[in-house]
Amino acid sequence: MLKNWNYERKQKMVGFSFIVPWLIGFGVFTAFPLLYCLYMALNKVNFVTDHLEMTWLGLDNFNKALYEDAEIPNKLLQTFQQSLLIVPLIVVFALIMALMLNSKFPGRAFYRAVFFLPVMLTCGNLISTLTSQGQGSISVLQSGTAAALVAGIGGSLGETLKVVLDNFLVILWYSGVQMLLLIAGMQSINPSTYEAARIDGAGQWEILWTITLPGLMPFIFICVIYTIVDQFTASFNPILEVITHHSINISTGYGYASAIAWLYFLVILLVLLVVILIFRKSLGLTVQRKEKRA
Amino acid sequence: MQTMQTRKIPFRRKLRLGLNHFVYSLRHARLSTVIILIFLTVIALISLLPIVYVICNAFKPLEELFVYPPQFFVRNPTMQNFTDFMYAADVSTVPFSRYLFNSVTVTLVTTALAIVFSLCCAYAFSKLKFPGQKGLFQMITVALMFSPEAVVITRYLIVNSLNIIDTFWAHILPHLALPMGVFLIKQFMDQVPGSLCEAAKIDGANEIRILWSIITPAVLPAVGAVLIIAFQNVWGDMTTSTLYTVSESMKTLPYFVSSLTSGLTASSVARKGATAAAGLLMLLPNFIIFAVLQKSMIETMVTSGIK
Repeated sequence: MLKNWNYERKQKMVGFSFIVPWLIGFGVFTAFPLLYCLYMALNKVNFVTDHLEMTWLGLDNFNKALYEDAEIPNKLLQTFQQSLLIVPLIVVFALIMALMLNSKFPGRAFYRAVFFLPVMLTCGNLISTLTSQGQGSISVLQSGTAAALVAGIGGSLGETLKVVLDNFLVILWYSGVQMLLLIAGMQSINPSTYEAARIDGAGQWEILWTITLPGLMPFIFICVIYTIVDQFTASFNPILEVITHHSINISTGYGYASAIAWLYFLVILLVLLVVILIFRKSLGLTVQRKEKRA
Repeated sequence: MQTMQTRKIPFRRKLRLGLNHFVYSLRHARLSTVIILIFLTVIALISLLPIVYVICNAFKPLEELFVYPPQFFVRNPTMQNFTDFMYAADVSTVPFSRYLFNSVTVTLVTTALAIVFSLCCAYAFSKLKFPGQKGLFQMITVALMFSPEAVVITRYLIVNSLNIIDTFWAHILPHLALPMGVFLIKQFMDQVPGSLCEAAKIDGANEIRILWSIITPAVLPAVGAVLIIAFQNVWGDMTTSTLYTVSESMKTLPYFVSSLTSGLTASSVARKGATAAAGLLMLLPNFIIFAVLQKSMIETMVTSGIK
């Protein structure tokens, strides 16, 4: 009995030791700053030469952000709307691309390599830092690219083309990692399932809806989460600009910036909860099916 | 003995064979395949545009860089930008190689450690049991949502109180715990059947061995994605240089590149060309990683499909 208990305890210690290095880094550089940030949001923070001066304000900063500052609720809503539109678009686009790249066609390896290159170069903040030095903002590069391309066409046709191309580039740029994850997910579906379906006389369309998509659900879920995080925390996000602006501004102070940051954080959390609620059913379903099969 | 080994086919012959095969299969392809191919080609071309833009920019003479609206293609390509960049690198207070060394060291160490930590942590969350597992993982999922920009000042306070300002640690430590890395790898590990681990355990493998030789190969695509994310996090990051370091010899490349055009003096305007060239040079490591990862990632994708 005691020996058994010891073994279990040892197992627990092994499990714990695996996460300790990560957990320390996480605690020191992410979790603690977050909580400290919340504490600052409840204070007025002044930078005095070598330390911080805090005056307790309670919820004043939050009240101010929500009711007095016209800019904040507006920007929050704006970011929310934008992401609501662009996140499903990105995920669906990545899914379609992944399905295509996963089907059999001549030169598949070559095309995969071609789509892998932009993943390597354009997702993430490297390009945006580069463009912010050379070309203004990321949107200038996008519309610059698009404008230069359709400059020859002109007229209303050129204008429409430009808008389409503009948004298309955004979707393309931010769907690279998702494509990669989805293709990997498709490879994890057992090929014999497809074979069985084909023998039973299922068409391509039926196979897509009854095997590929349900099997992919966990990976689609990952993609949705990744896209939301990617979109909401991109450094050119309007609300983050406000936060950075306020954190250097002496009159409003860092406490106020922290309050906005936490409000924003809560909005994203809300979005995330909705996504988890939507996916809970389908994720549960796939798990059940697997258990039945096993 | 020679007959036992497979003869190495020269690259040109391989290329010709591949092309022949491609043309052959195109001729016998179905309509749907042709449509997919055309569609993919168009999208591939569009997604390559920004890269072409950066490359073109690097070769544009100054007057073309300032043209409004910006031109996409370069009209009179010149190497002047690269010469300017070399000159700027030459006259900088700290030798250019120092920035390069800092950047490369920091990026290599951080990316490698971040991947190892994420793998271990994800393995524990996915396949091991320990107290507080569920709560901790939920905390990670929540932490994903918080962007580093919002906690810049609190992070500075911590770096300061740890007494690591102006050291390599200030560059490395803040980037090590990557919530996204743990999340991604853990979700992939969940798809690996637990019976694999049990079998290995019965055969006498310890946890590290199981993680390294059974689980990691199965989740390589996720590791690749995390490598890309971690690398891009570090390589292009300027905040650690501007905030956590004081002396010029501890700063990294992105800081140097941005310092070329800081201020609105005549020299900073003239150095816009140098920045454009630097933009292309900064992408070189990305190309290298692409060349290394490309083959292995695509191959794992193919082989993992044949179970």
